[in-house]
Amino acid sequence: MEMTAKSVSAPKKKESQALKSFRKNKRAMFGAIFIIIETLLVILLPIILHTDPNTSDLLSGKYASPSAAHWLGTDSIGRDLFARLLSGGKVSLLVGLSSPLISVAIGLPLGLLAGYYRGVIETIVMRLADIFMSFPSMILILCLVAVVGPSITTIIVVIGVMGWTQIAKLVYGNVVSIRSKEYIESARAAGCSDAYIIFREILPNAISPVWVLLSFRVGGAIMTESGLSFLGVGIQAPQASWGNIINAATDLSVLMLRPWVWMPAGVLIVMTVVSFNFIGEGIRDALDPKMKRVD
Amino acid sequence: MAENLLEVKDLEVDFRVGDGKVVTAIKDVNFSLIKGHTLGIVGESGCGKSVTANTIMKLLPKESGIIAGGQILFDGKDIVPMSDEEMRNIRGKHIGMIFQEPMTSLNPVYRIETQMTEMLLAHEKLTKKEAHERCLEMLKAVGIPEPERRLREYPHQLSGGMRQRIMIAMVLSVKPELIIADEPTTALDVTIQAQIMELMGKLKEEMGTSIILITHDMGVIADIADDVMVMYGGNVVEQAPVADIFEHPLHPYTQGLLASIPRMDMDVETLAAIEGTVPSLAEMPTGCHFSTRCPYCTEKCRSENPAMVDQGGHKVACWKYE
Repeated sequence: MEMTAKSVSAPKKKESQALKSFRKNKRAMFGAIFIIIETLLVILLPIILHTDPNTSDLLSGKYASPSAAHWLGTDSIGRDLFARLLSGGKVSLLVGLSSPLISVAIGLPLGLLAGYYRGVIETIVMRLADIFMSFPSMILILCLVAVVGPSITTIIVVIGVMGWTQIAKLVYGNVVSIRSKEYIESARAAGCSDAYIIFREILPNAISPVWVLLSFRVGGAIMTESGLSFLGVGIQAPQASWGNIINAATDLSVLMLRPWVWMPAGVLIVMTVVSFNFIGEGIRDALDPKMKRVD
Repeated sequence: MAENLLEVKDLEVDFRVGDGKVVTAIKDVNFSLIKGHTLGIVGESGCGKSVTANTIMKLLPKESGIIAGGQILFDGKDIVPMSDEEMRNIRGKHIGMIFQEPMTSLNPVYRIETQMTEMLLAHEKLTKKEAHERCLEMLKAVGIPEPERRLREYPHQLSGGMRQRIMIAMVLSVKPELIIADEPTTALDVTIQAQIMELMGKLKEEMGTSIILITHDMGVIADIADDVMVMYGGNVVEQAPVADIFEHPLHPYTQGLLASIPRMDMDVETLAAIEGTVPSLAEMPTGCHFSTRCPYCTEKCRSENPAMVDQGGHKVACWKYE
């Protein structure tokens, strides 16, 4: 008889404890607040200020210095850099938040299956992960983008697909240790099906480190996207991205004499990545079963 | 004669150990369990007790465990050829299992109520409210104070003894005909052990459940079992009603086990012990498996494994009684 999957009341006590611990963590709170404000600004400011990232301002000309009309000046073809910074931020956050979800969508089920069934499935999944991990990922991504053609979707999918190995290995390791616990044995002795045991008994116990890795992966994905765009194979003009804004700094005169062109994008990349890493650390400390759980 | 709930005939279980090698974990295991009776299976670690229990549940490790022969008749039906699907209907509903380690046998992320009601709803058609009532009733039956509060708690908020009571309540809530208890009290301290055994005895009387109790504690066996089966090295070496085992143990291994129980009424300096350890499955002697440690070992013992002989309901496998 199959046990019916029902919604289950989340462990409230533990959750609120974890939340409390997260709140007390200053760095994690800084990261969370920074990301929330940044997201709001990137979405709302263009609407409020009617910024236009793609039109050249012929009056101000190229590489105009910061002024009332162009807060951060203009780029090589006279587009407003503040508008481009916001527009690029939207893309970076979109890529950063969605590609790790693809990694989880692939890595989580594969890790669960490999860890639970072991044997042939384990060998196939883990060796496949080894093969993926043994390629220098940047080169592989460059090749893939060259074949499929660069677009936001391609970038999201490629970064997401490349990231499944870490998630799968993490989940796999957890499942292997959880499946030998007695509550799994007693679930089996109670007549539970494999699917029930994997998703209802094992998954809730294996998921917390995934949240941690997920937030680190967000930072990683933003960096990879920026790197690709900087190299010119990522987000393509006219769409702005932090990476292709910085690309202007390949011109030595821009790098030396006009820091307002590339500096804001660089600072935002660093701040965003650092914030996500702080959030990840905060989640890890809040959920760490070794520090929290009594048994 | 009373009806047999479980009959195990010539059961043999092998394990693959890699490199295509196979070792025999248990062989020629024969026993039957009368409805409402308790069978105690005793022996040291590595004797095949737990393998026997897991085989009845068909919970051997998928990759390595093989039922190489024999029959397991539960309620007259052979479960050896049954599919996993069919077995899932038997597990929990008809045969319940209680494990050794109460600290880890409840899932840490769910409340007690969630775990208990899921078990109930999986096997019986009940409304949520009925399931809740049944949980309360079961917790009261196993002697848990403030059951309403306990239902809302998580496993880590409960003591080991309390968790084992909850496991028992959970297993009994669907009223299985047979309960297999694999060293249910080993991990608990002595006073709690006694309470749990008393509880199991009481519930068995009330609900008419049959029990297979696996233990290496002869004291526990004396308390609760009707019949005793002594295992050594994957073989059954002696089988008898509980009084016979304690009064006239026939097999040298059983005698050794009984002699090694510390006695309160005698002042001794050193406890009796059986020399040596259980050989590993791969190194099992060709003759009687106990021959390497037996004080009465003869040439014949080393070359041939003795068959079970029935001495008026008291069965023993030893060349001494041939």
